Amino acid sequence: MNQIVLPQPHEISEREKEDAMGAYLMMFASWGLGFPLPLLNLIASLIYFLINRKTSKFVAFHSLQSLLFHIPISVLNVAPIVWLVVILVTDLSFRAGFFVLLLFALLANILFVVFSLLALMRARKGLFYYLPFFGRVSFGCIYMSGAEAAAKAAPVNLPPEGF
Amino acid sequence: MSGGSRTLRELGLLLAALAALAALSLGLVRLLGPEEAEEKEPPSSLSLSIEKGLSSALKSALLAQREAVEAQEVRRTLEAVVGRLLERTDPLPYPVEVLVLDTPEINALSFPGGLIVVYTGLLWELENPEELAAVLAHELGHTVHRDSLKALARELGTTVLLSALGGQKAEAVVQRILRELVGARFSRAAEARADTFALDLLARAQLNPLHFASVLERLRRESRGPLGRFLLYIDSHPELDSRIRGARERAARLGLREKPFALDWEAFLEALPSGF
Repeated sequence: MNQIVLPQPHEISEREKEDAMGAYLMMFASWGLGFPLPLLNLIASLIYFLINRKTSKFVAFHSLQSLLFHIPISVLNVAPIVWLVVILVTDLSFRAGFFVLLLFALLANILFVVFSLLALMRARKGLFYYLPFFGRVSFGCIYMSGAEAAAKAAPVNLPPEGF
Repeated sequence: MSGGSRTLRELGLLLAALAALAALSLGLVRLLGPEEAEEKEPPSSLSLSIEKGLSSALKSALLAQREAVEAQEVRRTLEAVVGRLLERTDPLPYPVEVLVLDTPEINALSFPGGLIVVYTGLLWELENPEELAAVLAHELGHTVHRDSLKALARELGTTVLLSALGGQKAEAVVQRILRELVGARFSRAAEARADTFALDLLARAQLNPLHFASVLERLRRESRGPLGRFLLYIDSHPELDSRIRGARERAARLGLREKPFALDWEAFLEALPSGF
């Protein structure tokens, strides 16, 4: 495996640090906004990632990690809302399962906020912070495809296929 | 590549953490119990004599609206059935009174102070005295658990309840309480408790719990028929299927020999007014 050279905190510009922090910070804004429609913050984080993808790998990593982290929590937040709508249009009976899901979503959201804050503070200092699983996947996406991205950026002339 | 396997391990760790979180949520909800939480206990200051007073006020209000069935044959059958059930019940703080009202609605209600109201519409649906015992055992369960007072406390709030019981014999308050009670929906948990009580009581009184299942099944069948009025009773009793299943399972487990009532059911039905 190629040696991956990561930028050190002093090599990362203030702008990058702020953008990386913004990836998490923006989540909080859309998180509050997104509670009635939790998928809204998923879209917002996707746009943020697409915008910052090309600027710097440090920012791209944090944006993608934040985006990936958002997918399960958004699904989890949609579920009780869908259930609530079903309850309201059908028999108006709140089963215990609904409260279990609601509490589960609440606890998961608390964990989500805690980990997001941790990541946010590291990003501000110009540090890579790897969330369990999401950190690895995000890092893999940004750094493992480096060779392909380089090939795209600098096209190489090749003979026709099978020559 | 070890990176891939470590990613998977972290995914597993994450899923395990989520499972633990879900288990925690389940445990907490079980512990706090949303069904129980929505029920209010009747105020402890509510003395039995006041409850009896409320009961008689409600009874006169009911009788002002509907005619009671007083035929001797009906009285005798009810006394025999209720008597057998009460023999096997822990003593109640007040006498149980069953009032039959002449109305086509299919319903039976439990009121405060030991008053149980059965509509003739429901009696017409029953096929034997054992089924009547099943219906009355269920309502008796509500009476024993004081579910009507809990429903009142929930619907009206303690203030109105206490002002109504505090001697202000305002006709309007009684009417309001009556309306609330007739339309009251007991919680799912209260219905389940009354079912359990009824099945236990039927078994103790040497009656087959299967009768309870047959009554519920007939009501469900009727509710699918063209007559919308049947929906009323079914509507306030959700999860009918699981209740029927519960009664069937209970009957199968017990497998007891029944001691049927020595009563003439045809004569009982004939004694009921048929004017609807």
